[in-house]
Amino acid sequence: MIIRSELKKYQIIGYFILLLINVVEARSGLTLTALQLILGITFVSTRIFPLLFRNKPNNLIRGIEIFYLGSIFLGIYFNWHSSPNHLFLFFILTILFVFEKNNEMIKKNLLWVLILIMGFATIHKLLNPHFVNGEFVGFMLSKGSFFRPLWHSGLFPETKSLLSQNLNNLNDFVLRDPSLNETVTFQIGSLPFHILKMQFTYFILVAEFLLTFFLMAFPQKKITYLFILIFIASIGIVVSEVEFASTLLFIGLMLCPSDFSVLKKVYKSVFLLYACCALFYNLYWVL
Amino acid sequence: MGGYGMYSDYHTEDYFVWLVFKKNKRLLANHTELFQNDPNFKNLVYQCRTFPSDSNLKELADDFKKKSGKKVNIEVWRLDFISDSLKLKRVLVNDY
Repeated sequence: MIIRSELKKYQIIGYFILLLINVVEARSGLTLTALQLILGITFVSTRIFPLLFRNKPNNLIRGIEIFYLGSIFLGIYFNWHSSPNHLFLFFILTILFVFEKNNEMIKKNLLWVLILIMGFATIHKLLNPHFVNGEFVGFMLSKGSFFRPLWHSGLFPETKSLLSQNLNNLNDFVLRDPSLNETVTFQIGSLPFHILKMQFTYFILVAEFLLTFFLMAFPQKKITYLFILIFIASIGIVVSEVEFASTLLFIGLMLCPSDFSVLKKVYKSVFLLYACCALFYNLYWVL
Repeated sequence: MGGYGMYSDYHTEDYFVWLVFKKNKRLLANHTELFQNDPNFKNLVYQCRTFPSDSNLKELADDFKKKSGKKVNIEVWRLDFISDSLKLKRVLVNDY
């Protein structure tokens, strides 16, 4: 059969890059990851080279697609406790790419996926006392989990040294018997920690709320896609979660209207940059 | 998990599963030989870390007893940070 899909080549290639990121990470276990790679390559080939598959029976192609989806689902099911957010997102993307041929319908679904993710992320933070009172952001800041590229840039050697020491203290602390009720005190040096933690907490809440609002109210406006781009691109700098950021950037790239050609090019560039970082980072750990 | 898109609360990696033996001797579940060699036990430890319900803790205790012959209690502790004093402590989330 000839597969009729309105997906553009850059969208399929972007999807394939996300598949590679998930495969290199191998969070589904080795067997399922290998299966995802083989079936994923076949699935992507049916979309990029449909003529090659014109003589193949309809049931065979559909069977491959279902097995491919099944391999991702099982990867999440068997490792639900440690499956990353971007694997869930990748699963949703795959459902859409397999079952929906209409590009506009795929975009509509992705828009609502993004609205739900950001909306629930905002609500979860507002309902969570650890987040609202700044404790969570304070914890992340004081163990150096936020703004890693900044600390590793060499511009703040004193802060970097203190945060590394905090992390070492934390790693020693967690090995000690918890029933002894010991505590460990972090050092933050000259970092304006107490101001930073609250301002950054409020900034995150406002930014995520605005992002949800813009997506719902102005899904065709340039300001919305500019805001998404800045926010998602900053994920890489703040929490260094380049796999999740790449997946969200790909969704942003798909949603961004074709009229905004410059913005679309920036999306493509930042997506490729983050995807390369994700691939090299995970390859580094594997090798 | 939300938060900066994805983080808004203590991560599952901030939860620790402890095995409590006789005389209150404690051992981190991920420092046991079973954790290194038995994928099912490892899975149950991760399950308790992510969702420390009574039934999950009981399942882990039963599995450990079946495989090692030793009776243990299970405790799940979470890190707790007080940002005003910059003090880090641990709180007991659940035990069985």
